[in-house]
This record gives sequence, C-alpha cells and structure tokens, in this order.
Amino acid sequence: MCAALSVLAMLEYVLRRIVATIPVLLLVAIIVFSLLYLAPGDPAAVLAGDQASAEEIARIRSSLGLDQSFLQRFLQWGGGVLRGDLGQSVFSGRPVTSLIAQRLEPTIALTVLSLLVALLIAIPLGVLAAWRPGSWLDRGAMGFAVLGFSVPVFVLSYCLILLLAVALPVLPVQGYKPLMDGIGPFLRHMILPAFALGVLNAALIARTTRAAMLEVLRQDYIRTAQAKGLPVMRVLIGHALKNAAIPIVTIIGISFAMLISGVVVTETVFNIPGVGRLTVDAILRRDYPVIQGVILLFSVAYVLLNLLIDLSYGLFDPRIRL
Amino acid sequence: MNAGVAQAMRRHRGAAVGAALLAAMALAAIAAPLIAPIDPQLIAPFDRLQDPDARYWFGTDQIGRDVFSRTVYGARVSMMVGCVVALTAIFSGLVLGLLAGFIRWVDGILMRVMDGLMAIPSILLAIALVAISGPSIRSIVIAITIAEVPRVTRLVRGQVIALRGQLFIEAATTAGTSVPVILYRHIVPNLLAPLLVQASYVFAAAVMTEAVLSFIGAGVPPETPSWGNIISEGRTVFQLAPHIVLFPSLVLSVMVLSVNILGDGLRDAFDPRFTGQR
Repeated sequence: MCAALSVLAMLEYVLRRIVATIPVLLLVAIIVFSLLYLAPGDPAAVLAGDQASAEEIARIRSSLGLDQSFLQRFLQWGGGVLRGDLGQSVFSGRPVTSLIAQRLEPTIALTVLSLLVALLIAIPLGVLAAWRPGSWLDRGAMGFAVLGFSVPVFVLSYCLILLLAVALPVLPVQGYKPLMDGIGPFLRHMILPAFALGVLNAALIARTTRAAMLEVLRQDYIRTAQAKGLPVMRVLIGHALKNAAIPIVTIIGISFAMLISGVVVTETVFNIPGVGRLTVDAILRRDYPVIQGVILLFSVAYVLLNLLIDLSYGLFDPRIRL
Repeated sequence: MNAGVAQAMRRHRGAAVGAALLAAMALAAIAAPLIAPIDPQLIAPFDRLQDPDARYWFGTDQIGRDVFSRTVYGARVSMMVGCVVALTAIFSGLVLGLLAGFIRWVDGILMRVMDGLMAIPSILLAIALVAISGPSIRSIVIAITIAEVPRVTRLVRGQVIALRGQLFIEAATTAGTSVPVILYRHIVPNLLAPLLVQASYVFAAAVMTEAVLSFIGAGVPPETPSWGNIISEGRTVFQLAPHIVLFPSLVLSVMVLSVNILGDGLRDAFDPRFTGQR
C-alpha cells in the first residue's frame, strides 16, 4: 500500500517536471524562430538566383510560405520541427537535419570525453579541498578554479598544442578520426581537445563540489562516522560526497551550457568536423536555417539534460521521491 | 558606499591586485596612440612573421603588422565592450527585475521570457543575434547584453522579493510611503552591493564572449583590431609564428582574471558568509 503510494507520488513528480519543461521548450522555439524571421535578406531571392524576375521570386516566396503571417509561419515551422524537419540549408540546399546528423559523432564524442575529464579532475579536487580547507591543496584548487573561469578555451587549446603537438610532437595538432577507424587514432586526436575543454569546465564543478562538501562535512553524522573510526575515504566518499551530490549534479547540468559554447570554439581550433564547426561555417555563410537548427538542437539538449538531472534528484535523496 | 569599497580592498589583497591590473589596462586602452609604437594598421611586407624583438615587442603577423600595437588597440575594444555591456545589462536587469518584483502580472510574463532566453546557451544566443544584425561592435554589444540580462533580472527580482518581506519595507508601506519612494530609498540602495559584484562578472563574461565571437568570425570586423580577431588571424600560421596567438591570449586571460578576482573580492567583502572560505 505504502509502496504503491510512493510509486504514484514519484510518477506525479516526474510528470510534473516534464510538464513544466514544455513552456520553456515552447519559448525557446519561439525565440529561435524569431531569429530567422528577423534575419535580413530574402531567402526566396537567394534561392531564385541572380537572373530571376520579380514574378519568379514572388512565386518562390509563396511556395515557401514566406508571404504568410508570423503565427502561420511559426505553426508551420513548429509542425515541421516536431516531425524532424528543420528546413533546408540556404547554401547547399540539403536538409538541416541530415547536415547535423552527419556531424553529430565528433561533437558527442568531444562533449562526453570533456565531461569525463572535467569530473575526473573536479570531484577529487573539490572533495580534497573541502577535507582540508585553508590548506595548500585547497588554495591551489581554488586558484585553479579562478584561473579556469578566466582562461578562454582557445587560449588553453593553443598552449596545449604548442606544448604537446609542436614543441614535443607526441599528439596530432588537429583533425578528427572517427571511432570506426579504431579506438587508438580516435583517442589520440581527442586527447588535446577533450583535455582543454574538460580542464576549464572542471573549475566550476570543483568550486561547487568543495562548497557542497564543506556544508555536509559540518553535519553531526559526519562527526559520528569519524568518531566510530571509519576510514577517511569511507567518510568522505560514502557519507559526505553522496549527500553533497545534488548541488554537484545541478552545477554539471548548468555547466553544460558552457560546455556547448566550448565545443563550438574547440572544434574550430582543432578542426574537428562536428556540429560546432557546422555552426561557425553557417555563420560565415549566413546560412540562417542551419544556425537556427543548431541553436534549437543545443538548447533543447540543454533543457532536456537539466530535466533529467532534476529527475535524478530522487536517486540521491529519497525524500524528494515523495 | 565608497568607503566600504575602499575598506574591502584593504582586506582583500587579491581584489586590490585585480583592480590595479584592470586600471592599468584601462589606461593603456585610453592612451593607446601614445603607447603603441607603430600604427596598428601599418603593413610592412618585408617584416612578415617576425619573432618578438626590440622593435616588434610581440612580433609581427603574416602581413607584417605590429602585434604589440594591435594588442594595445585591441584593449580598447575589450574595455569598451566590457563597460558598455556591464552598464546596460545591469541597468536593464535592474529595471526589469524591479518591475517583476513589484507587479505580479509582469512577473509571470517576464520571468517566462527570461527562462526561455536562459535555456539558450549565451554564446549561441549572441552568435545568432550577431548573425542577424551583421558583425559590428554595436551589434556585439547588443547581443552580449541580451544574453546577460536574464541573469541580472533574476538576481534583482530575487532580492526585491526577499526585501519586500522585511519588516522595514512593511513598516514603510504601512506608513503610507509611495512605491517609487520605497524603491528609491529602500530597495535600490540595498541592491547596489550585489549589483556591483554582478557587474564585474558581467564585464568578465562580456570580454570573454567578445573574444570568442571575434575568434570564430562572428564578431568585430577585421578592420578593427580586437584580441579575438588578432588570435583568429594568427590561427592559420600558429605553427610558424605562435606569438601572434599567444600574446593577445595572455593579455586577454590576465584581463578576465583581474576582473574575476576583483569580483570575488567584492563579493567576499559584501557578504560576510563568504569571508575566509576561498
């Protein structure tokens, strides 16, 4: 009876969070659509070419639905988006979804690997800094955090390239090898970009980990755990880190926005043919449908990731399940 | 207020160092024509890709322009973008946040729009806005401001709602004080400290975003030297002449770092809870 009730309550919580996400996604869609709506230039004139007559342009315009009202066009576009149609690239005429799909692998690889690097650096650093606040380790960790906020990702990237690819040629300067060509070449090309992006992203996560841990380490049950003679690592990880998890996963979700911006820049520096590179090329070519599609994709990914993180709170804190 | 800031500086040496570095860079930006030894646009084809030496302190780029002079002039763009964005974003955020905090129906609509804007990663939002309005310093400033306003608005709104629940505001309301007077005399003065801290973070974010936008080619047009576009132009010859990328990068990092330390120092000084925690 009680179990059934709590499952229902959990279900209600999940549903409520999902429903709360819908207006945000709708707003993102409206903003992203308005961007294209406001964009200068007439796509019909571009598609028609230089020699087109005024009637021809008008015909293309009405066939594209460009002569309709904002609301009509938004509904049409939104309907397309829901069916997985993001329109066509002005530059190549190919569907935006297939352009993005082609470029997805390197971007996902870079995002996942940098997040991995960030967590591997940030969590131990934050935990140890909070364990001995004021120590040289703590000062070093927090100095690193301020530095991490201040160094743009391309700056660290170029320093790493200079060090590990030019002066000491152990890693490739740039480029990308798909996972299909073997894990070795793939990783060799990914080390520098993932490390550059991961290290900088680690700064924010380390700072939050430390703050959350400091809060938890003050609690009575930590003193009890220490008093009964548990090993330090058991106390720090089993008791403290587990209870500090919610602010940490929250900041990981928030930092995903920084990670996305970082991906766009890092792919440019390392010449990785991912979605970020697609974005930059689209900006240089004023290919608005592609810019719009990419921004929509990244924003929706960001919102959904944060929804998942919201839903994961239940795993860390049973009280939230109710 | 000013005495408070001065006192804070004395207690937080990091913040003082940050402020000093920032002031030095601001001076350099203002006095750029006096400091830069060579015209930043002067092309010297025979001195292409020179390493740093006594004449060209930061070396030259691929068409022989002096990287040091270009970097000094680049400080103007960064300083200008940082200051203008910080001022406009804080001011707009203050107005919007006050409206949201005091008028319920405005709150509902405004905060949903802010939620939508915040769901779009700020660099992407800025990229999109610059893509629409064309690359120029003006459109960069507007784009970064729009991307930064939601955070300020949310901060102000939160503070206003917290302040409204306080006894002294309630007392003023009961005594018949009008809303504008309460705002001017009681709410805004209490917002100054958090807004000053926020302004420094907005400044840092704006300088960083401008550099990133110019780096990926959606920023300051190439005629005007900015740190981002100097680095972007140096990108293609990075292996031959890394100095073109490295010097502006270093200066850019130092500027953002100074502003961040200054902001952290101000935050610690204004909020006793943080003191000694860093």
